[in-house]
Amino acid sequence: MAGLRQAPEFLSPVISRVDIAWICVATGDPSPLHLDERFATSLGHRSVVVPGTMVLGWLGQYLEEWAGGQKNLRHWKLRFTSPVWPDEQLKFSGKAAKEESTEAGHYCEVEVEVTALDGRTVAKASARFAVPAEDGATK
Amino acid sequence: MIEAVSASIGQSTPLFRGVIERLRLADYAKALHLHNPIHYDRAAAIAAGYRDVVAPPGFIISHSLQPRSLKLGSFGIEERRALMGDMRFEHFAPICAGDELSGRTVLVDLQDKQGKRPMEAFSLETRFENQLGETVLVVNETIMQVKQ
Repeated sequence: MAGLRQAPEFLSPVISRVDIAWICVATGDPSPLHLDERFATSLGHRSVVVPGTMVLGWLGQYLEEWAGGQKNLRHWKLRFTSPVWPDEQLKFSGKAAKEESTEAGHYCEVEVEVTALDGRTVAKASARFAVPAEDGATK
Repeated sequence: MIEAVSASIGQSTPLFRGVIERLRLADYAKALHLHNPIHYDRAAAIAAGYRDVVAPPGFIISHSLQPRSLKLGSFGIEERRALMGDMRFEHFAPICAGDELSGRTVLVDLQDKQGKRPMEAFSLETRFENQLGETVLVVNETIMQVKQ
């Protein structure tokens, strides 16, 4: 359990416009909001908007590693609270919020905050992990 | 001027069906510089006990199974004005390359949001089933559309 209570820290790579183009292709997302500067600024944004799928992808990785594998990740949710811009870097940090034992097993609920380096919160998330019996045992 | 909302709650997209492709997963892992080789290296995935490379959590929102324009268009959402709101994922079983997933997206709620930039909030639910008829994933998401 000690491993689960201890939240990992993750710092994303600097988000380049090439990364943005790449994720748009990988996810089949052709929205000009992510690729066309003129279009994005015409909607009042300061530049193209980083696709939410990037935040989602790194959050998925963060939770999967924290949970000790995808099999332990039961459900997770997130809310985007601010757009992310090219050349930003995102920091993922979390805390274990609650532990629970049921007949079906032992669970841990966690909360995650995703922030840009200027301190802006760009997403908030929570997740529920199953804690495998061997990790739940006192060591 | 207030535009009439054309979508109604309970309405759904046509059934979609598609195979999860190994190369698509590799591209996704590369785009995000993901660490875990089970998402891009078949041998590593098999060594970890999976039948093939594993879709990372968050991958299945990707639009290869159901083009985003088709999904959004089914509810009268204009893709160019759409922003992602909140999302919730519930996993029931792993999704691996070679799996054939099918499902539909249903409009479960629709609300007007007032503010500096008035928006409409579309709540969508998508259930994904694999080739064995097992529900592997349920995704709930809110799509915000800026009003013109």
